[in-house]
Amino acid sequence: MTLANEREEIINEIKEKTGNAPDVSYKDFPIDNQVITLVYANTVSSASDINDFILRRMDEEKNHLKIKDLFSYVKNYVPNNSLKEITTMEDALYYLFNGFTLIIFDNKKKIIAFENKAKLNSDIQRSQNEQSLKGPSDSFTENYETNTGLLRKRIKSENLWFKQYVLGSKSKTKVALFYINGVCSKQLINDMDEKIKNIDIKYVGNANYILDAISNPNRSIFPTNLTTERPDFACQMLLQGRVVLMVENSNQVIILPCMFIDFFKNPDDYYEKGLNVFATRIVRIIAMMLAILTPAIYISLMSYNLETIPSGLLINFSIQRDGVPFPTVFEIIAMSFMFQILREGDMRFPGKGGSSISIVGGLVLGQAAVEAGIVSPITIIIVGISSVASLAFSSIELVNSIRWWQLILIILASFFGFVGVMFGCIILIALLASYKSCGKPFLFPFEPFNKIGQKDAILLNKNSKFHPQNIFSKKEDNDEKKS
Amino acid sequence: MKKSLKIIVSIIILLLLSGCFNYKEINDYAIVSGISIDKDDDDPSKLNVGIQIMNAKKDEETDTSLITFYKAKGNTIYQALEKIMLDSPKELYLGHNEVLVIGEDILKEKDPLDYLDYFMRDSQIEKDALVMVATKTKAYNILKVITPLETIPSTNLKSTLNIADKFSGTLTIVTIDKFLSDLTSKGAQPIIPMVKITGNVKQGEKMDNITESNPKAKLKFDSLAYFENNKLKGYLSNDESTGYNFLAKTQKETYINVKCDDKNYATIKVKGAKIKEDLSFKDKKPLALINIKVTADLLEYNCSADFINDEKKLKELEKKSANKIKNLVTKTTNKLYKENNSDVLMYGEKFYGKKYKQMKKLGYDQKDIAKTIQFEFKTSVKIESTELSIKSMKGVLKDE
Repeated sequence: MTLANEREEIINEIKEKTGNAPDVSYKDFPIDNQVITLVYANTVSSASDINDFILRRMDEEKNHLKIKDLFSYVKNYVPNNSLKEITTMEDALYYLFNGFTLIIFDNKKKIIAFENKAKLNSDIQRSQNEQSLKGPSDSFTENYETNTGLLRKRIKSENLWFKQYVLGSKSKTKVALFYINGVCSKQLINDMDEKIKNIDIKYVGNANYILDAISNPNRSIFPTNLTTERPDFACQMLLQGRVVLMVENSNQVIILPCMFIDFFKNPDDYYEKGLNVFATRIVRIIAMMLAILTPAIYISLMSYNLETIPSGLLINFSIQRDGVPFPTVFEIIAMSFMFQILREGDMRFPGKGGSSISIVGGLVLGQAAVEAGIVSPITIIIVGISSVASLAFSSIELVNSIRWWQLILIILASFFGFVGVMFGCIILIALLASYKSCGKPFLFPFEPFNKIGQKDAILLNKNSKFHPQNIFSKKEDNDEKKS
Repeated sequence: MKKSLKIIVSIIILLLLSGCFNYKEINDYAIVSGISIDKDDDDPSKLNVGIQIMNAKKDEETDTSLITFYKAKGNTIYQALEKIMLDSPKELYLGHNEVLVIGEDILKEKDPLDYLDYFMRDSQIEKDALVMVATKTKAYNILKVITPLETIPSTNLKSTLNIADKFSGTLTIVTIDKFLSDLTSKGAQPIIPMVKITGNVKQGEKMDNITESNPKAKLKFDSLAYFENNKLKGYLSNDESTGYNFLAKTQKETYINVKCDDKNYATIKVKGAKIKEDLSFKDKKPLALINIKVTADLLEYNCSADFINDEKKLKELEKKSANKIKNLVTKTTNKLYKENNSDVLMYGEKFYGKKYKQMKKLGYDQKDIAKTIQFEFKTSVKIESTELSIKSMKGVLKDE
């Protein structure tokens, strides 16, 4: 839709389209016999910038303006780093609510827009959810430009490329797809590009909105993407040949493709010695197994396979269970459920309420329940082990999916004993192996086995740390060259 | 949507159909830790089965017993157990049975295969439980004796026997599995350790027994009991038991005492023994040539010697202990093969396996070849270390 010729007409149209928004200001500025109008939304633009750099400048230069062509003078002599020449009404409205000041002329069919964005963002803060022990502590903010800057600051090479999109028919949110040219597989970039272009949503609230829109209805309980708020981790992942999806107003970026083993990695891993990281990752893997399996194995031991417990331990268990009226399965499920409620309460309750929750949880539900003979102490220990082990991961989505599998295995164990647990494990592994993240197998460096991938899987090879390998695209790119 | 609903419903029904096939809560079980089998005094055709149950009670006070003992009669073992189950409020759980004590009298009179079938057939029962014979007392008395260091009698028996098996050459452990396979094997006879009570049996049942520094009743393992035709025949002496362990290769750590001069003794610790068996026929008679090579450490030497400068003394000691070992094993084979017909070392089976053709040619049968076997022994001892001192105490005195 092209612009009208008359200044008044344009202003009226803007008023009509915005529903005469109270925060849009129209300021007429007479110069000689002509009048230009400044239009800006004062909620998103900086008033002092408009005063200092546009109004004062033009006021000072009034005399010169008389002589010269008004449009080209404003365009060339009013200092601003980001100047746009607008010819359509859509653009005009887009820039208006992006913190630009529109200058409307008579009989020009063009609008000049100067950037005067107000600072509506929080500053760069310490990472809240992924705390850093050794690494840099800055984290992504809600500001898109700042976030891009944080990446550019770390990778100064010209090969850090990104594609920018505007998504959301109502929100008009900027989305960027970052990758390293020459490292990332072209096929992956093209796929992502196509998928993002085809997204049709109204509002993009957070990075995960995009993800849900791209991926097909994903039945997997386990997350198949990695979110991080640490720019250093995002950079490390970029250098491995992955893409980073950044969304305006979101302090988290999405890393794709993501493998199962990536959940056992931590940004701080790259600042430690490889051998120590190896040990830490093994601890995390064991924690995962403990979290999923402990309650199920305990139930099948206690209810079906008593002979596998050593005699001394069996007597202890038997003494502890004495007088508890409920079946083991009920005890485990009840205590796990209580723990989940506690965790949810602890996370959501604002501010200082957390400590009272832990007192009630620890004392009342733990000790008192045992003394009252509602649950046996060993049950508390088992639920404790699996709960603590499940908290060893920073990805909240992973923790939630562990919770599902805990429950599935508990139910299988209570009906079939060890046979059920084994069955559940086989199904779990089969499901994990069937998942794909951006077309890459989820259990990637192990199934299918990949030698380069092993260097940063359970082991962290020193070479892989200093010269991150492109673990995803090597083979495909070679294939491309051949064909 | 409809399809997935159907699948979910059918999975739920499937889960419920299984009915928790084997589900049992741990508190529904009474954990049996020891079983005893005796001949019943009133009716000799019946078995008298006793079981020891571990008490699983909270807030136990020190003067209550940790075990409960039940006893019942029956024609079969399960019949007796069934009777016990009527008395006990919980189901008996035999999966953690630790010992099976069998009375001397029933072993002497009956073939164990007449009544032990249950132990082989039941899937739940522990087949690694240790078998032993109760000497000069009823088997159930053994399960009642409470001793201070380990208050549960069956656990006490099991750990005592395990320790004895490790550190003394006279005992060996036999599991139910091994016992039954020896009984059913054609050319072999079982051998099991014997246990007896020293002191007052009645006092041993009481909790007071554990509060005294010198308990009134104790359990004592002595030696091994051997079988002939699947019936208990007699007991080996300590020396013969040691010899048995050498030949059966079950010895782990043995101590051998020999005289080093006219009055005083020395002890060596046998660390390992290599045994080479050479089976052959000499003058149409089976001959077992057995070569025993022993490595040992000197543990005690109460005569005067300087081992560095005078190697003779050590050589002499080696020779003497080799003779002693030869003596031990000869005693064992004499007792088992010459005086009795008890092939506990399974030479009948070994001949059958290795010299089958010659055996058949000469007309020997697997079952009766054992009593005709001639034994010849060659023994040698190598003392590898004299531990901390290269001299004996007396040798040190002389130097100064």
